Amino acid sequence: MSDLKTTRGPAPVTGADSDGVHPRRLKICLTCSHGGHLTEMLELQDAFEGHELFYFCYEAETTAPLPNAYCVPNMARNPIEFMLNLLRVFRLFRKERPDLVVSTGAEIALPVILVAKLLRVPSLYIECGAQVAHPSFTGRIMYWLADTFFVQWPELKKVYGPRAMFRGSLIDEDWPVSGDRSDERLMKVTLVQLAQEGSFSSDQPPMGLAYIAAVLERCGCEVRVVDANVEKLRPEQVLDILLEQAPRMVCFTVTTPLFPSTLAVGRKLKTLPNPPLLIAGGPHATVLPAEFLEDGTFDYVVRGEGERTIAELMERILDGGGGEGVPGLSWRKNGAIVQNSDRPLCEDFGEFPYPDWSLFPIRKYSSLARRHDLSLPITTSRGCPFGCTFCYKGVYGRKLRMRTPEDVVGEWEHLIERYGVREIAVLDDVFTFDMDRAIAICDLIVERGLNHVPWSTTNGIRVDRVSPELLAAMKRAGCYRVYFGVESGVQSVIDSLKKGISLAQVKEAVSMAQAAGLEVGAYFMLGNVGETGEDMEETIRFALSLDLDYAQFSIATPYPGTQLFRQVEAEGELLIKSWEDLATYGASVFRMGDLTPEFVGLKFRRAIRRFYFRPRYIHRQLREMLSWTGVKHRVLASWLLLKLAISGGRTSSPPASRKYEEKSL
Amino acid sequence: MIYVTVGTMFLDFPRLILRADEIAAETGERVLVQIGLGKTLPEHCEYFDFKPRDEVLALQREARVIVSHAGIGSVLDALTAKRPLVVVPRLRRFNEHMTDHQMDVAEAVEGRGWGRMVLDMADLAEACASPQPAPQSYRPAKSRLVSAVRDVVERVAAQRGRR
Repeated sequence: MSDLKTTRGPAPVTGADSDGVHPRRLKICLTCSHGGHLTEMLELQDAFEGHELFYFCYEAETTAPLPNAYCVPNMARNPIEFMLNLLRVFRLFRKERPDLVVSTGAEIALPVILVAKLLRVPSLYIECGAQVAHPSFTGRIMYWLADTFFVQWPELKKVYGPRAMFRGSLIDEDWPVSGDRSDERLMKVTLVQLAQEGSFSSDQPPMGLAYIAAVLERCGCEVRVVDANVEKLRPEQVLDILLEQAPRMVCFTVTTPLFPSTLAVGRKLKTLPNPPLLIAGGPHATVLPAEFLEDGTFDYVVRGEGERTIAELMERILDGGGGEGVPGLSWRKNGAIVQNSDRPLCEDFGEFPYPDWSLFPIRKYSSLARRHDLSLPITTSRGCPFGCTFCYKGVYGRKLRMRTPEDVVGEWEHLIERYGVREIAVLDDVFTFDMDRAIAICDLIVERGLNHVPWSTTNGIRVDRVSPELLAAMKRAGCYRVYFGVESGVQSVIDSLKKGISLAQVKEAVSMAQAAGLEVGAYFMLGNVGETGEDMEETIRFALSLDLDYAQFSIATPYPGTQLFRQVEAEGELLIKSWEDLATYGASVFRMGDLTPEFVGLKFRRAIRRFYFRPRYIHRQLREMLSWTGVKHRVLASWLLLKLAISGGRTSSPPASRKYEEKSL
Repeated sequence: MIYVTVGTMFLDFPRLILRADEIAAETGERVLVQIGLGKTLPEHCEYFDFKPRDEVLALQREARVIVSHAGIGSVLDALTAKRPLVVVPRLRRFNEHMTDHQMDVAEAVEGRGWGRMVLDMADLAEACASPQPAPQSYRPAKSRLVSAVRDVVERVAAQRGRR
């Protein structure tokens, strides 16, 4: 390091990290230029207490007294100096091996954070307090390059976008705890779905939240929605948005993999001086309400179908009351968890408003299973009377409740007219259970002239609930593709899943749909309990033999509350550290008998390769690309499939401990 | 006393210095100007180029009103001194600064009720004569920022420790 001058500071303390205790003492690289940027860095010193620091900065009077400082000539925007600095930083990082880079600006951060990115060292960039409403040159680059990006003025956050976080400031005042409370009569509520890390296929519009949003608006609330999944927001960024919005109530929809991050965000919110009411709903909240309530983080858990429960609770809260006697609610009273009685399932959907999608970024949702950019879902029935071992029925139950054709098509029309959707996805578990009702819906769609909008049955219909008349009616009504839940190509495996269908029915249904002029997709599961390698091979062969337009292979995942989960708990071993690990698409998470994650992963990747990388399939996709508007989706799909075929969701086996680690923010 | 500051910028800020000089002549009130690297010098005011920060803060606490270019450091100083603040941003078109970012700062100052923004020098005398009171409860969100940075550090430390 001939061209680097090191100033002498106190000798660094060493050895603290050798015993592997965590959290570890870090080596942090601080980088900033010598003026106001350095002043700001020095103001932040308390944050680094207990860690080893070194500086990378310009030679100047102010930087001379810094301990452990590597000083270089001021490069301004000289490209040659910039390249030289890249080399210097690279060599410096090889020597010092920092664990984290923090910068308060300005352009000196460019080579440092670039190298940090290459060497996978985490980085934090804090935009200078002088940038109030306009981004800086360096900031514009750092916004994308740095792992974490802070601004010091809320105005600036709006200019930059969602990656920028306002988490306090050296100049601006503490954020107003009360937020905008100009109209106290309006209860400000924010509905949140956190992002599922490691999820693969798509960003589904959160149907349940859209119903809850509509119901709460009817209660007179001012409702906002944060769908972190589609906006690709990390939990810290969601927290930041919530701090800005300062709602009085935050409702989370929680599937099992989202539980750890939801709890972490909830805990942070509860440390605020004036914390909002926290409410959880969704599958995980329904099956394990105590996980949310036991440490006092959440105030209420809405179990099962949430619309009427949340409406009743909201009325109580607006009247100054609590959860006493509201069916379907779990809550805390004087430190104890109170479990109110279950709420009977709703029989009449007509009492709910249509889901309110106006609060959602509806143009951002995309899916491999849909063709068009602007696509929204509809649910024409709730519940499913069948008892498949892998399916969780806690929220909508086993009792099938069907909406009338008029009600369904009313919403169908609303989706088209109000939101301009170009595709509709039918999300029912069993859309065609009552085939006469399904035909009546299709006929009404034609009658109202709505059959120009394509649709499909994305959640799958049953092969034993189709007829040539029904499929023809669907085709006339604009349906372009049906999906069937097939699960396996081996009858004994299907039987063990309690699916209640036969392979003969599968073949018949597929050819019936093809004869009706519909495309056919099918869902398969690998890694089912008791399945052998030969069984999985047979499933792949069976999928190929059906001449499908689309197939989705998944790996059996034991969600709490399912029979599969109880089976794995009793006879096998669940290999997850945290509930989050259930979310990884393409990875098996349990071991039972000969069934290991490695083996199932191998078969899964093989299935993807065998199905999608056939010349015939590729040819079909290319042909459709020419005629489809959704070229973007095809390209994305191909890339994701290639990734999956090579590496799967996760190749190495997860640690064998069954301890559910807590997550902190 | 009116305390006027123009910061450390190498570009001159005659608009403010000359107007401050006129106000000193017209009103007879004591005007103290920090002129930094500027070439324009007042005739009716006391002035100095730079002083250590603690002395600057002491002088600002004595002031009846502080007139500042909208530099972020000087705004922070004035808010810390809890004295009425008038901001006159250095502007690019007068060759007082390379960018107009002080306009953003000045707007933030006015928007948050920390002080008054003056763009037309004709308004400066009136703004100094009857300034808006300083916010007494001002407290920057520094501890929040420090703990947010510490969160990031601790997160990395936890991840590294787990390996």
